[in-house]
Amino acid sequence: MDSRNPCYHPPMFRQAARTLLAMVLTLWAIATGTFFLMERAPGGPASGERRLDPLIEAGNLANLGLADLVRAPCDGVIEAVAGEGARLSSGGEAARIRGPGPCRAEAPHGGEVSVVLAGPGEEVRAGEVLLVVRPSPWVRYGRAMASIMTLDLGVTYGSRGERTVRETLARSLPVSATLGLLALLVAAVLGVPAGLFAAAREGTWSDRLLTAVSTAQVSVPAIVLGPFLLYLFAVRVPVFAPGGLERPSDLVLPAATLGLIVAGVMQRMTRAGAAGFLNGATALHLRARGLSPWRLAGVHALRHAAIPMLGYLPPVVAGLLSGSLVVERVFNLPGVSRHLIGAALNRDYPLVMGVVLLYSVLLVALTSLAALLHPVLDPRLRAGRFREGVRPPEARSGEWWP
Amino acid sequence: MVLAGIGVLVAAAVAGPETARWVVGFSSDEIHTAFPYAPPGFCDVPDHRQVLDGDRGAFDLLTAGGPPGSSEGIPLGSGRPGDAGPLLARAAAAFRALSMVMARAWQSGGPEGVVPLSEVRDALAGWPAWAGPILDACGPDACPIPALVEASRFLRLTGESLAAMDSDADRTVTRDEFLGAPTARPHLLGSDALGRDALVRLLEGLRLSVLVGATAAVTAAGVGVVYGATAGMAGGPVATVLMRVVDVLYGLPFLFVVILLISLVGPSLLNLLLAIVCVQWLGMARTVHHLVASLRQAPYVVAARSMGCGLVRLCATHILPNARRPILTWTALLVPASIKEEAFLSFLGLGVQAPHASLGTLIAEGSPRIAEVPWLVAWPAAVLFLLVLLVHVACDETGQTDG
Repeated sequence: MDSRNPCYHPPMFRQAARTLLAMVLTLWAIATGTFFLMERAPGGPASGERRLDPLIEAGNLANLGLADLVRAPCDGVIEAVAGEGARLSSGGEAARIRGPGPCRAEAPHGGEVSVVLAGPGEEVRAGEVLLVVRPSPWVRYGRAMASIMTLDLGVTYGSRGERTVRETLARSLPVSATLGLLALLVAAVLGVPAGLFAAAREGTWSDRLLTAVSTAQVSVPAIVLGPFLLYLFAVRVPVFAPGGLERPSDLVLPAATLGLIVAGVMQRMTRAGAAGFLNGATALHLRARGLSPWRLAGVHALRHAAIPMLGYLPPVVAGLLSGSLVVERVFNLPGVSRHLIGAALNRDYPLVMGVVLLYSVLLVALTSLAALLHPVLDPRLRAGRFREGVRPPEARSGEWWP
Repeated sequence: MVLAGIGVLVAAAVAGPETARWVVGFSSDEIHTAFPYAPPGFCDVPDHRQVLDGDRGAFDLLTAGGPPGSSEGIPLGSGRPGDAGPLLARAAAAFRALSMVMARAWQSGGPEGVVPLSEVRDALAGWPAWAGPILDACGPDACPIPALVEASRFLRLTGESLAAMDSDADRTVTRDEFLGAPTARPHLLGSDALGRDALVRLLEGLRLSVLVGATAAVTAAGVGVVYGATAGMAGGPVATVLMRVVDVLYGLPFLFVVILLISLVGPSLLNLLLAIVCVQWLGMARTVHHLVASLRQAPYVVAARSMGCGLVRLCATHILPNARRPILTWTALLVPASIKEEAFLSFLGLGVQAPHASLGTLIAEGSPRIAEVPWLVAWPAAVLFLLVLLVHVACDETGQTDG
């Protein structure tokens, strides 16, 4: 009754808890990695290459929670100001200003002065930024985690501080999500029946033909299939628009591109999962008891095929996501990935981080969902007693991405 | 047949661009700005020869007034850098002097400016035989820059362009060689936006793609084998930790991490290679770990171990050689995966950078204009598809992959 027993398999809820814990850990690892990349980014917030205007850079840092801005509390002339590298405690005096009355600018939190924007003797107005104070690394880390958890991903550099990353992503996510779901639909509708059919006729010419087609589908990169379909159905036979997103029909070609590629993977997986069952003793027994071949293939074999398919889900989802990068570019769709590439080349870090985090959460969530669904589909796992020959779904090699 | 196809593609990648220069007469550094987006089969004269086309007097002009004996041919010098032969050195000096004068006029009057006749005469003072026809193109007291550029074209001949005409390789270009030179060659696959021959670009792209794909696959396989074999040989908690690391990395959306990294360090060939290796080694490590862990139980391994064989030796002489077939098949499968990934990253502008070409960048360059110039996308796309497909089919045929 404990884990020392080799035949013991943890009950479902414990398995679920383990999956969820792994999911949280992975997301935490991604968020932490994101934070460190952000800190170390050359030309990014923390260094001087490709320097932005100091004020804008300070604003970006403050938006990311990586720095505090000290503003002048009143109009006046600066008498004294903390030097670069000086350590300030929380509420410590950062600058003294002689105005109508004496007033002092205080650091909101402790830290090290990283940039001084106004020197002694300069005249300042109330609200003007005087200093940038960088808190200690742990505080920065805590703040970054907090802002990631509250989905506050900062402000895009590209918009000069006018649009938040969340708004940008919220605007483009529906396009990408619709595209991804449509592609999965296309893949399932084309791939699963074809795989079942091939499994039912294993070894015949139709099986060989379908397998050959699926090899081609699996081999074709999205950057080949996308332009090909575009040329065929938007240029030679102008059924669809050659790009942009104005009508719902504009999503047909992109979804077909992604769907056809993923359908090849699905077909192979379905065939591999169903063939063993359909040629086995159980299927023969069911047939002998009068079960129709349709029901046999469509219900029983499908369930057998679905179990290994769950293990393949991560690479399929990763393939969909990466394929959507290409497809959105080829068909000029206003989806999420448009922001990723442009932002990556322009070093718009908050936006890149936002997109990467979004995709990571999607991927990890779907993978975990697959792991959670596994015992639902596989009664052998639900029984919770024997685990011989039953392995939890394991992420397979990622060779299928387009 | 599949292997023959792969052989042809690899041979084209290895021998391609240099061979193409001799077959079609174009090389990638020749820019035919006159004919961008030429359709396949379009006949064109390579750029360095175009200077002479319709300017058959260039030979007489160049050789007139040269050193003794030069009227029989243009001496090419030794061909080493800095030694282009006396005649070409003089021509280059004259052209340089003329360019200075033109540049000055350009600054004051723009591209349509005029050069005072006296300055042109001063610039060409040492070469009266060449000054005549150039001065003929001028007005009574000033020279418009366009006319000057046109009239001085024969001075722009360089050692390399003339060396290409030197068919008997005696380092002298005779009149016959010179006049026989400009022959039109077809752009078999058309030309791209900058007028470069598409076939040569395709072959260069194929070379880079195959090179990057193969290097990345072999490197990733090496890393994966070492890592997986270490984990497999160590066993116990060490293996658990090592493979858990691989599991966690597998859960990451690696592709996006790669894009993030490339945005941090900037796109370059080395970074591209590292990025692909980063993604590809994980699967190999897993496979090798499974293989090694199961082979460790084999009787002959146990026997070797009991005879005092060390772990490293055991792994190198008993385990890995017996796992070589699946390892080789996996490595072969990594090649198309790496090629795809390279094409993908290059397509997005994060991989190979201009002026270098890979199949991905070629498709990326052509696809915005696919309606007008489909052939620019069609050939790279077809070659990429074929390359990946053939390797997949070859791996399927060995029966080692279940997809």
